[in-house]
Amino acid sequence: MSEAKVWTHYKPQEGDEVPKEFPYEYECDVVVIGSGPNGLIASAYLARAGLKVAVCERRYEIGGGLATEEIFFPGNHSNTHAIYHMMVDYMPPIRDFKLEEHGLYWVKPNVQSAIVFRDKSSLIFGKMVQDSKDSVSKFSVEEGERFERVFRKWRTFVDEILAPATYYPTLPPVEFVEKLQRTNTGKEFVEISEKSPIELIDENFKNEKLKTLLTYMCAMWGVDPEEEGMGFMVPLLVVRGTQKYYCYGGSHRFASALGREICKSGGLILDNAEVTKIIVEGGSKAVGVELKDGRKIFSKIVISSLPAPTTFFKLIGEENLKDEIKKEISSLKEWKWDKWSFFTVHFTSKSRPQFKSDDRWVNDSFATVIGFDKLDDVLKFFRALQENRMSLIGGHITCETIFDDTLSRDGKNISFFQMCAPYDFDWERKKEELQNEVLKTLKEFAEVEPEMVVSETPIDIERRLTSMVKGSIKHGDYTPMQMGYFRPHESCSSSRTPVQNLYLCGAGTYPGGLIIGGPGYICANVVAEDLGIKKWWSPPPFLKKYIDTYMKD
Amino acid sequence: MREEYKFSVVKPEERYDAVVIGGGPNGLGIAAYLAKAGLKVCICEERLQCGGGAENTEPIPGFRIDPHATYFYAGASPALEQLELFKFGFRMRFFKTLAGTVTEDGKAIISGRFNIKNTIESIARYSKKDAEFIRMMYENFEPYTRDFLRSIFWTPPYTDWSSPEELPWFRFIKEKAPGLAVLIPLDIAMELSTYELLDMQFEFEPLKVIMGQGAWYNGPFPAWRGMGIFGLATGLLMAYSSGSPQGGMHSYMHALIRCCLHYGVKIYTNAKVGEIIVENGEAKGVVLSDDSFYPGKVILADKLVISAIDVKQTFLKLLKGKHIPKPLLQKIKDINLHGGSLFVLHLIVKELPKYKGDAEKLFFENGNYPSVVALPGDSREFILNQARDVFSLRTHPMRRESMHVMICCHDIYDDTRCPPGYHILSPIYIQVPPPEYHKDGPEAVNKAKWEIAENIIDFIREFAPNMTEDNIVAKFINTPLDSEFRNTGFIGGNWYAIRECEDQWWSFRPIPELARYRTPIHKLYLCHQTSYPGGLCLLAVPYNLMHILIDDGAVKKPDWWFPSPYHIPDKEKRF
Repeated sequence: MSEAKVWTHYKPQEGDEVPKEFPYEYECDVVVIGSGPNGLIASAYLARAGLKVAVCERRYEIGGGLATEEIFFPGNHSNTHAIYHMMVDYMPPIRDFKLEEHGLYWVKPNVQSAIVFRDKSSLIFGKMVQDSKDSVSKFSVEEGERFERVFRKWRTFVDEILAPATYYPTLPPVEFVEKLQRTNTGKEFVEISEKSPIELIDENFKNEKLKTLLTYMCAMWGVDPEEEGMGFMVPLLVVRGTQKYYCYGGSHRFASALGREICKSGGLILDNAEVTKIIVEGGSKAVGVELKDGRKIFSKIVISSLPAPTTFFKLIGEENLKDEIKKEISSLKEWKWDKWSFFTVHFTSKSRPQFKSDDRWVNDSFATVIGFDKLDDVLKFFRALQENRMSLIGGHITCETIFDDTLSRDGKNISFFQMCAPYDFDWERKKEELQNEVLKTLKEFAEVEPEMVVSETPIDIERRLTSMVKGSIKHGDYTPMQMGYFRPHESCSSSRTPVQNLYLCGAGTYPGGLIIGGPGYICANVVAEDLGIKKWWSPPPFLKKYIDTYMKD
Repeated sequence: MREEYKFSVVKPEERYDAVVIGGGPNGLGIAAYLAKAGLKVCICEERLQCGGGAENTEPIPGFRIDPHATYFYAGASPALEQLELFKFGFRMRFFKTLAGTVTEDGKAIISGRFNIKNTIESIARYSKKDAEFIRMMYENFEPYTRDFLRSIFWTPPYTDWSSPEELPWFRFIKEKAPGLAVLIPLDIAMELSTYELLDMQFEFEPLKVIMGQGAWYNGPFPAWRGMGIFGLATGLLMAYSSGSPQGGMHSYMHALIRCCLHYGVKIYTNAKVGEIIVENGEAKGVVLSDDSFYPGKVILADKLVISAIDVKQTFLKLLKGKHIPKPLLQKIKDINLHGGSLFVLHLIVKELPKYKGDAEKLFFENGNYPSVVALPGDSREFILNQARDVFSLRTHPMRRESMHVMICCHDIYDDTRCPPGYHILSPIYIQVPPPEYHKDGPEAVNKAKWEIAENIIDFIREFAPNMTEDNIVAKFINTPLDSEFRNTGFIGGNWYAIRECEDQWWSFRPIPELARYRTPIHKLYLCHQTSYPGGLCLLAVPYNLMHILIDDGAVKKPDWWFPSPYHIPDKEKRF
């Protein structure tokens, strides 16, 4: 008998005088599985709409990737997952709920991304385009001009199409392309979409150093620079990659503010409450969930923020689905998890890292890339990752305490170096070796004396956040066949699924991950429409314009 | 359309009915009470998160340790009913076997309210008499436990009494359980220590060791006279609840926080209060400090300012030593911190400790592994030696003869705490001097921390040979300085902030002038474990304070409110 079976907690018997607990059976309108950003956003909207919502979270804290953990015990924290919030300017819940009421404030660093090369040359991207242009102009005035022109064009794609599309269900590709033809911006956007990121970058720019940084900024989020049909991600990742926000007080605060909205509206949050089963009636209708501790929550609607394969095959189980549904979703078995994950070395130091570079502004950068000297280094690195190798030590560094004095109780600087890394790797044996190499590379590029060092591997990511299968921070790869209308599957990218009353709202659902809040917002809208309840919110102006321009017949 | 996030809610001044300083268990508790009673309440918490010492943290992915509070003691609390925490997701893990001890010569006993048959059997092997006494107590007095505990902890202390018979717990015994009075001679009980009371009834030393040691970790040192009843009562609190919230103590705080939010409490974190605003002898609100998220922000309170931080910081820092006479301030400065400063070790292991001797079989029989093991059980001498090191010699115990260790493990009863295949021994503790009293200076324990940890591990290994380096995956430590660094309310790293001895207990806690939670400053009240009845996250301080607030007319008596039957309103308000 395994040890785990020997000891189980005592379940109170009738007549035992014990404090009253949350009941073993509970009924509500909506049960939400997982309290990551999307689960919380969907819950908060629906709770305020008057529905009785219960959120079930496996971990001890809500937030999923919005995690700020005391990894430097005792007393010092780091953001172990999400830190770069790219869609704060747009994300509807931030305004709809006035989350600042809960002390939630966002910091947009002036210098957003930088790269430092071994010859000490550098390039920075600022939140203001003029600063980026000035930096690119170090290499050549024409390249600077080009950068400004292309960036502003790309920004239009984002403002007019990509950002609003994040918060509205998408259409089958042919239909969507047709609708985009209505405007010139739309037509131009369709043209670039077909390309691979590197093609798009190559045809717009000449300078090798600029291309190196741009390519890394796309690839770090799991977009293969050489994959055709992924070009549309470049404007998004480059433009929003220069408009990142830091969540003051740590990313967890964002989750906490959303959680407060849920409680304020009468919603229930259960932590330490792993859902082990979605109860499905008649092979086609979700009626509730079962928790690991034996509790059952029955509901009209079940929303899962977990990846679709996990939802259908683990929580429901194919055997509990009708044949036609089973057949319809069978292709989800081929779901591709993220091509690469992250290996992160968190460290404390007395003074903040000072880069050996020709531009002192680099030291203020939100993220600084090191280790790649030319474009080919980047391309080879990401090719090697797909063979579960790391061809060099290269990644990005962030010193969190530049923007947030609350993470350290004793005024230490807290930083991390993060590199893309394969999940399938001998982490147990090689972690320490890799950590040492990272620290060596770090010292090559910056003056820094790490004190406490804590590394987290893709295995650790999966252990902390089990929904990130194989370290998949986005719940599934970004490839043309898993994006847009096909994320996670054509039958459920709108958040509705073939199973009645079951909805999806995680990063594995359209439009995807990276704390953009799209899946959660879309799901809240769709559920509200399906239940015929009055929405207390209305689309923000940028979204309304998009709907009017492209989505109306 | 280009969009840019704009700051839209920037208020240099806010106004509430009540401001609560500190979001620990007591701050959250009183905020929930006041909000449920209809007041508009704001909590200002210094740290990233509320919950104070009732926290869990995950230093490595998937493994959760308990830096401070680890057991649930509040099972008897009226606040659980009044605030209806079950509605906000409160769930327990009841432990089949709460505690156990192992002796050097291989004896082992266990104890657990939910494992009473095995408890009695384990004791009967060594002492029929003690086993019989426990059975008798369990059968006769279990139904009275809750109300007995309420009479002690959930009653505001009163200052004007002339004979012990007027004290609530004696009144309870006389009225409800006169049988107990036969066992405890009421007239002398108030004078005795925990050990003396135990010696009157028990013969088997390991049983007394574990109960005595429980008292120390819960508050009163077992050899302190005048604290015997309270020492045993804290043990009874632990035995009565016999468990921990599912996921750890912080999840209990989550239920409380969500209760607060439900009733509209505004909670600010990173909101360290720098100053309490006092005008004409009346508390008006607070100002956030320069290291808060909003330096200088003013939060006004029309009705109440509740200080849910320790009494020393309240008067010395937030009131800047003003608004009370200097000699009274001196009295506050002199409040003693000795007695509960813990050195805490956390080990992640692959195998549970396998103790030698009778424990080898006993602990591994179904449901018998104790969630806390006291080592060694042989004799109280080890405890007395450790106390002498800490209190008198003012050094951290390193000698073999002063080693006495408590080892907790909750994951055996709570599978949410770590992945399968591992166990978390958290916390493991010994007592050490508060930093400022250490003979080698405040940093002494921090400097020696790994040496102290190795000494503890070596000691455990004598009893459990499988506690090898191979078995240990990771180690974490919080010393008293670390504890105070993380939670500034643990002054001196003391888990109940100030000593729980007879001179700082009941109507003397923290000082007699402040025993009724009132302060000389109008509208300013205390709600922290430095007030009666101390720590343990009982929600007792807020419950007790509510009596006073209702008496003072600050809160209108809500219809769901029920007071302690032993509460005596003041004839004349001192403050």
